[in-house]
Amino acid sequence: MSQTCIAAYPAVLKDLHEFYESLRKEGILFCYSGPTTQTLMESIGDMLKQRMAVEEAGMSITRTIFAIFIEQMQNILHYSAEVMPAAESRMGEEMRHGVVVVGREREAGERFFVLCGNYVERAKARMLADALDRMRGLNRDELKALYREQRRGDPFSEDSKGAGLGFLEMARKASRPLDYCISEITDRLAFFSVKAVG
Amino acid sequence: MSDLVIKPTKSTPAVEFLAAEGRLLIQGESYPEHAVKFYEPVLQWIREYLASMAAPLRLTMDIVYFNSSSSKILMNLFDLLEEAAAGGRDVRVVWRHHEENESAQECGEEFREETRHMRFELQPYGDRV
Repeated sequence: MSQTCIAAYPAVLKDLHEFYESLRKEGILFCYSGPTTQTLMESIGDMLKQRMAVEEAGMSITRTIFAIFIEQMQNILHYSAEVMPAAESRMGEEMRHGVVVVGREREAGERFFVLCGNYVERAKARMLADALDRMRGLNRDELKALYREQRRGDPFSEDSKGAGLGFLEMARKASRPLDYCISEITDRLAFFSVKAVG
Repeated sequence: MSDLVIKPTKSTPAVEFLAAEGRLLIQGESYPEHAVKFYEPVLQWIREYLASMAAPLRLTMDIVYFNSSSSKILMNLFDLLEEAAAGGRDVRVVWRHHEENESAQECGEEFREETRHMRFELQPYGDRV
């Protein structure tokens, strides 16, 4: 293969063709990485619906993936430990960073998935992992019971943004248990990611 | 008592509460960044209505999609109505959903399972002409 390049690309994109092909091979429909806001999430949500229409996905699976996407993105919006304070943000609001990947598995079934990652405190990562481990052992009825129990918690309490319930919502919508991964990066921070398959 | 009317946005539903008629409508999608902040005036209005009016209350819910934090606060809203119904108030909730939106139907069923005293009915509809 001959290649002619006149370009100063970032190292990760040295070979854009290779990047393009690996996205395709892994079934990646799109990804977004960087600061997030509610407005941005709403726009990406539109793109998600359109992209799934191109894939000829039905209404039911599109609704499922959209719901998982919203829970994943709002986790970044509320809990990412990588924060740009409102004073420094040109959007005039606080912006938390993370990455979201929407794709379609290459294996039989070609299921859609939403993979999301962001920095969190290491202690928090362990807490989330414990919660997800517990959920992985539950069947549909047990997940429903736990969801109903947690929904009855006080929304005005300190953790008012609904932590925990979001993961339960995803676990209930997903066709198999949620996968997660924790990479410990510094003494304080870990990179935490969750994959939900629709 | 004045009406409560909130225009819909992409991530928040339309709210139309008409005090004189005791008719309440919440319609659209609900996944705001801060669900508590959005629904606080909604719950407040219902509390005031229940305290100051004796007329029946009919709430129509037509929510295509809501996120987990909206779900939590909607539970609070239904608890409020349930309490009033237990105290003898005439409260009725109609949960509307598209006949092919199974997710919205299940959500309605799960809220209904949480209630005992008020009337809570599911009302499927087909494509709007």
